[in-house]
Amino acid sequence: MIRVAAMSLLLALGCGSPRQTRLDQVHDLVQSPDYAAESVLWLRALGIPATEAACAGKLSQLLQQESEEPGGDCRYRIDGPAAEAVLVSRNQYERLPEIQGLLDTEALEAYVLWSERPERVGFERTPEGLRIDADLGPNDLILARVAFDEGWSSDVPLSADPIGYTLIAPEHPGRRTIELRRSTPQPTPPLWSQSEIPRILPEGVAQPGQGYLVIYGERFMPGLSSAIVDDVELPGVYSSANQLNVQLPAETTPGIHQLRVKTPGAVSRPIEIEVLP
Amino acid sequence: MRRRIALLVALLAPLALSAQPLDERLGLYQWVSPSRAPDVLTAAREQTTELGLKTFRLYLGARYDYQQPYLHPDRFAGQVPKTPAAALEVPRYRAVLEDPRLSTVILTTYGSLDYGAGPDDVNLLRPFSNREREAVYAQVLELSQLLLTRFGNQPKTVILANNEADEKLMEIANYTDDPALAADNVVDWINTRQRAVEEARAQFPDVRLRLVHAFEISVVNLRIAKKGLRYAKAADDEGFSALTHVLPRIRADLISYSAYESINSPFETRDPDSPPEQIAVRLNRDLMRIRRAAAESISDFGRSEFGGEYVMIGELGFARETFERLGGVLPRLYYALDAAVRQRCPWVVLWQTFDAPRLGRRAWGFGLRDDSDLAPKLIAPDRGCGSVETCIEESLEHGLGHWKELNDY
Repeated sequence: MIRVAAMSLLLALGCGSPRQTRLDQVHDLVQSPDYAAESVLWLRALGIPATEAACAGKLSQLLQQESEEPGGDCRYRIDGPAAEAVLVSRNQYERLPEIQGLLDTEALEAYVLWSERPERVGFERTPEGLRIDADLGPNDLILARVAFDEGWSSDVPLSADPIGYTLIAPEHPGRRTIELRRSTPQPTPPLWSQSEIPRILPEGVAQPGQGYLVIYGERFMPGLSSAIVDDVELPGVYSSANQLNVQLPAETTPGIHQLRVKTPGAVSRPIEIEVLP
Repeated sequence: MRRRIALLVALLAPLALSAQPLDERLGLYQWVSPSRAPDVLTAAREQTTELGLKTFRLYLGARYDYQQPYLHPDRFAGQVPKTPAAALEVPRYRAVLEDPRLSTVILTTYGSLDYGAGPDDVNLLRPFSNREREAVYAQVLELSQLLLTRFGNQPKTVILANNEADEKLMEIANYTDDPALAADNVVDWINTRQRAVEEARAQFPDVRLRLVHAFEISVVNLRIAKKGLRYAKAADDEGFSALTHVLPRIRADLISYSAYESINSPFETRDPDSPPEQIAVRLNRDLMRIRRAAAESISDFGRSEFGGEYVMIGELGFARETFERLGGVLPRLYYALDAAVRQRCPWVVLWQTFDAPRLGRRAWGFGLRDDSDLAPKLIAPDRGCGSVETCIEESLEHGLGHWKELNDY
């Protein structure tokens, strides 16, 4: 059902054939019985206003049920601001992490925080493509929820955002009308990795004793996780799905160090920690 | 002589307010909710007044019309009003002001400008320019004049308020990475609104309607500080907040405190699993902190109307999903309300009449009524009051202390 909704969305925006491959992956994720929070994040990232799924399924505790459909499914509303085109922060965009895979919740959350803006701009489909009417501030970019790989040209710089929508970057603030014309389609992006990428929680590192670190996070693998401090891999003394304890080497100097968590097939984003004397 | 009378009025005003009965002091807020007949705003107003409460808070602006979902392109039937005054002409909004059962109406309101897709709330994510300043001044003045002319003979209070300045500061800082710009924008914006309200009051000195401009904050002990790539609320000494960086630079008639920081959990631990009775201690402490911080920012009008009691509670509520697992919403709400009333907050507004839509992992279940229009049954002793609604009913009839006695807190 989500595939239908997402395809409808993209088709309604005049994009022609949607990017099947990555959308298929999102569709499969949403329809699976697991990964409820990740599914909602993807629906919000894509700006899909509503979807249909099992009535008592995983979405029922996270989204507003709008109605019950004849086939036994329920229609769920994703009540975030999701216009076809909105103003987004240039400053935040420059710091957005790359989305490393379908289950990269850290990067997806950052994307949703950046993209889920209420400041709509004018958006109109024309025979040639799209027309955007926007009054820009000095820190504004325009996010158009149309697939970049469909191919667009314009007299302002265009690029793909981290999930493949089109980002418009006028060089000067002020009111302006921007035309996007259909051009040469871009290569379809490769499939998302489906690895479960571990994540260290903000302020999720404690140092209860000298040289001992307790790391809290998500998607750690019990018995299979290790820490990487700077470039040195340290085996877990204890590890569960949400916690990893490691002993620092005696030669670790007090001060700021980089910490990552490694699981089979994936490594978390680094955070800085202060090792106490 | 005139000064003596003014002084006497200033001294007596707090006495009058402290005697303000619970039904006038306590109110409900309604923001976004799944659709209801005839519309969410009318349904919420009816729910509020049928319960016997005389204070009601709503949003008046371009982004939500209480019929369509938030920011829906078809809101206001595709004809989004260009100003708050124009929105107030829409019958369901006008009916709120005209409802004789309400003694106080709080309007969370913003001026509008067109940034390309029709009227939208004034954009504070960019430097507050003359264009924004003029629009805000003109539209708040227009709204104030409309209220004072059309409803001027009514013995009501209308409060114009912003929504949680700290959220706006954090939003601007995250958008621009410029905390100084965030504070400057909010200062300029609030002072512009205050000037417009003062101008309108000066034009209509003899009306019965009391028009008040409130400045709403939500952070007292925490600070907005950069954590990694984002600005967030943190128990840091570093950082900024509306209390520390805006309040000293503005003038307002009243301060509105959105009180979750005090009531949800101790700010030091942010662990919501703490004894309900400690909520009163924290709220008392924080209301006094706000009063001290705001002392120099209250207008002469605010001083004359509210004396030293110039801090209201603009939002207060507990999410069922969080607090029913931790021993219950009802005891927490009782201790919070009791503290607010003892602290003589002129108004205490509960968030909210109907449940908001679910959206991911956000705290959910604040509604007096759920999606089935039922008062959610909460943890309560066998013979006590078992929902927010029934506990409020009992309190309106017998006093707030009756809630405590009934449920044996």
